[in-house]
Amino acid sequence: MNEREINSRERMKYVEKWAEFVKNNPDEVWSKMQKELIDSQIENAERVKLTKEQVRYIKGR
Amino acid sequence: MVEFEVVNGELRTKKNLTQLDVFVIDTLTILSRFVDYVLISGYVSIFFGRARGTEDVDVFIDEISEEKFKEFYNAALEKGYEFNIDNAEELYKDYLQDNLSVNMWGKNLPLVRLEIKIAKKYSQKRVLNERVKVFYNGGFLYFSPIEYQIAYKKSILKSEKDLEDARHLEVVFKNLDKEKIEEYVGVVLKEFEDE
Repeated sequence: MNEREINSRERMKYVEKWAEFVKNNPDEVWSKMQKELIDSQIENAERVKLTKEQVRYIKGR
Repeated sequence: MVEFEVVNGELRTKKNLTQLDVFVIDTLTILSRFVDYVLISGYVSIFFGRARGTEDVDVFIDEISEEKFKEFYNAALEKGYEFNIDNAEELYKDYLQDNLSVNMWGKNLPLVRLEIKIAKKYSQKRVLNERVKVFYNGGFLYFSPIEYQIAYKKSILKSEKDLEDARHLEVVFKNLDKEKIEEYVGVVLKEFEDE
């Protein structure tokens, strides 16, 4: 197994671990944690302030 | 124990809404006034708990007339959204009808986009017809059947991220229809081979 395959396997283990957490905890609990993660990503993106032209460039059209 | 389960085409949940969820709800509240839609792809896994964000929220819509599309476009502009280009007619003819996605985003938040495509293929139309009504807190959204997401991500897309999204759904949902997943796999693989 090469390094990439090992990394993929480890990532999948984490995904499964988090999914089990979601499955075994009330919606209010996991969604509070998820909200912190996603909102912080969006707040970072807001700081970038890309123009519409830059977004089109990124998207390739 | 809060496994998700679709019963008679519906599911109920109550969650802390992320800014991404709020964006999706707001944009789809506008879109749904003009055309039927179904949420597909990564956001499906994210709404149901996947620990990642996304820049693109993908939806299929039903066929829509140019007139209706222009009404939607103007309603979105009034609410502070913008699009790939500032011309509704070109967006309709050169993007939507040409099977390219129409992207919509808040003026101050260009990195989170709603990507709108017309459901053209058999499988896409079927997903729209078999959409699941998901009640959250005080509202509802329409999502693709979970079985379709798993089938498409595992048999067509197959990137690391897609396989992880599919695995997440397999863990958090109960009573998934394995025969339906296999059937969807057959349908999408055939469409892929025919392209």
